[in-house]
Amino acid sequence: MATEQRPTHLIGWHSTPFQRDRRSTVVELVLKAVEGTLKSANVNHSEVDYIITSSVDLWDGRTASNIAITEVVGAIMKGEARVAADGLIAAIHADMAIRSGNYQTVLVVAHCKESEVDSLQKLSEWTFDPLYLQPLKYDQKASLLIQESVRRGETIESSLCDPEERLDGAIAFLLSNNPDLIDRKKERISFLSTAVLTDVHYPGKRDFARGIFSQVVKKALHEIQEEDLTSFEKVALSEVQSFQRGFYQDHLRDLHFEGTQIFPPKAPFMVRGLGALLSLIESDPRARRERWLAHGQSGVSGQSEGVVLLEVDHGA
Amino acid sequence: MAREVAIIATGQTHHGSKLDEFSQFDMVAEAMSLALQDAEMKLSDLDAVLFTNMELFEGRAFPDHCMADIFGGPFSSYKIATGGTSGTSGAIAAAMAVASGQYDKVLLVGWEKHSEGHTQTGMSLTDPFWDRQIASGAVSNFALSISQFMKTRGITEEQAARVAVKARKNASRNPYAHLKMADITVEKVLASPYLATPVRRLDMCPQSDGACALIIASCEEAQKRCARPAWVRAVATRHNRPYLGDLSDRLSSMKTLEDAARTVYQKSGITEPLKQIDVAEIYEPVTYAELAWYEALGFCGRGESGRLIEDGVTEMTGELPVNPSGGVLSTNPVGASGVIRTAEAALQIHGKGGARQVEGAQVALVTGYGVYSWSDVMILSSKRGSKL
Repeated sequence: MATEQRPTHLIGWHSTPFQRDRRSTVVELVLKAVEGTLKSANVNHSEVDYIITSSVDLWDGRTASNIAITEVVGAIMKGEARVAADGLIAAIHADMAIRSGNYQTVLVVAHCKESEVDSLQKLSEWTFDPLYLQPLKYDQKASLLIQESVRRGETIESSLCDPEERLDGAIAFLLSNNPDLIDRKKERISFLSTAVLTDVHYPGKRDFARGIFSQVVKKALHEIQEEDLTSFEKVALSEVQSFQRGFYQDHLRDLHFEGTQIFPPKAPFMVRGLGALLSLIESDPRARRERWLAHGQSGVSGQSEGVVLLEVDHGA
Repeated sequence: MAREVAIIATGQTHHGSKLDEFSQFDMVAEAMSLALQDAEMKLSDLDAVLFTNMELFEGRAFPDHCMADIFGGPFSSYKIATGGTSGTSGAIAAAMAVASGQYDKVLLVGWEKHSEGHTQTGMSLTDPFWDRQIASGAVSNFALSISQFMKTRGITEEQAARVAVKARKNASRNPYAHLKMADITVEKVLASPYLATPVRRLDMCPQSDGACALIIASCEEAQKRCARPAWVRAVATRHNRPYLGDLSDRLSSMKTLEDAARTVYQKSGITEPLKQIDVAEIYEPVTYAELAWYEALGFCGRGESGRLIEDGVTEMTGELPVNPSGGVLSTNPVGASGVIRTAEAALQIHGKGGARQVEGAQVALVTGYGVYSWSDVMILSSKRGSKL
């Protein structure tokens, strides 16, 4: 980091289950995540300075999809901004908001209700250029197949996840550099560094064989003047498809990662990165102090990826 | 802010109702290129790019990802989207990103191509149960709030028409503006048809195609790259209940704008806004809103905004010129509108306003408005330091 500041800490978190939930509205899911997070941090909403939400309009079928949750995230007469990307990238922006000196305590909320999406296929198509790619019926599945094929060096019979599997859920995290609030938690989980990268759009211009995972991790490592991940005990990846697990494992070997790898459960779109982070928190501590890497991605075949490097002190 | 940041460059496309000759990608690339030229920088000199855009207005998912080919390779970027305030939220986000130390040079670009979508449909996709049934889209929603504002303040249609005249005449001096109407008169505004009583066609903002970019840099970079940086002195954001039935008043008591303005004034040492601010670029989607914002921003007392416009206080020749660019009433690509406000205010500080330059402008106010009750406010200044 360029300036000396009090590091951002994760002081609260809560998630709804990730499941098809037609009985709950987005508002209800988000409210559960927010209430659980504030309770987990032992913090009142009056102590929250700013809110950053994460959602994508087309997935909610609403213009400015943060409108629906203004009240339940507690943004009445407060500041709120929405990052239209994976929830972990929203957390990265929240870290910047804190380190900018403008805010001390920021609530990050990500939600997605895939069960309300009328046509996942249409949403997939609308992600692509309408002049060249949409007429070819190029979609996210085609992109993933190409990525898998390029990675393995041969055309393969893919075992992609069922595109009609719809999961709903919301996650919230509370970030702060306020010592009074940090002291309320036994464990200390602090941000070491963050990085986010977006790859180019057209498949012919992308290096599907390598992707950008290594680059975004190296960028985050550069911030803490380290070259590899050997000092990191746990990594949680936000995978869209199971084949990407092997894809990322190749990169982790390149990055000299030694230690336990933890993979998150499948989470709804937009929530995956924070789901990965949550999986780290919920894993059993192996040592008093640990270093973690959490990864999020959004867009087609990991077009946009973010990582957060964290240091954890589980307390006495 | 943990460290001082400044807007060092701006760039925008010419705006219009249907720019068929440009794709969204072309517009974004042009605005970015012009901002980089203004700063005498290359794309590779930037640390990150933030985007602002409303994906439902054009029916694109992740429209920012489609723009990423501009980078030519992996680049730090993400999108901020908060409805009408997207552009100013993006500017605040970019300022915070630089102030945090994460980046030294961030380019913000906002765009919209309304001609490729259906804005009324997009605007109606808010609350599906209540608001959509009684006040779909902007015009009917504003009409309800304006009726209340007129009644409580005694505002007349003629006073609102003066705002329309000021905006479109100012726009005629702005080469990039969409609606340039040098011959507009109060009579012409009052002769335009009602869209929803009391809102007439010339009271409303247009739907524009266009893009705008600006570059925010750290203190060191700003001093190195810009002769007259526009220092970001204070920022504030306030949201409120977005649905019509949840707030008993909107224009007649814009609490979010009042509170955000109070915060930035306090941070930057402004006690008499009309005297201490040299120029304002405010987000006025409808003429009546500009009058309401005069009160909320403390330019005048309650019920005095009609007199303020009649006295010419906010004209180019007045004590506090408001929207020399022509404002949202003249140019409105929604995802870019807040970026345009910020860029136009910075342009005034840079002294590059051309025919719309306010002589000697040193302190500029920027506002963003969206979702009928959300507000952003920024203070830009030619001077560094904690107080003006």
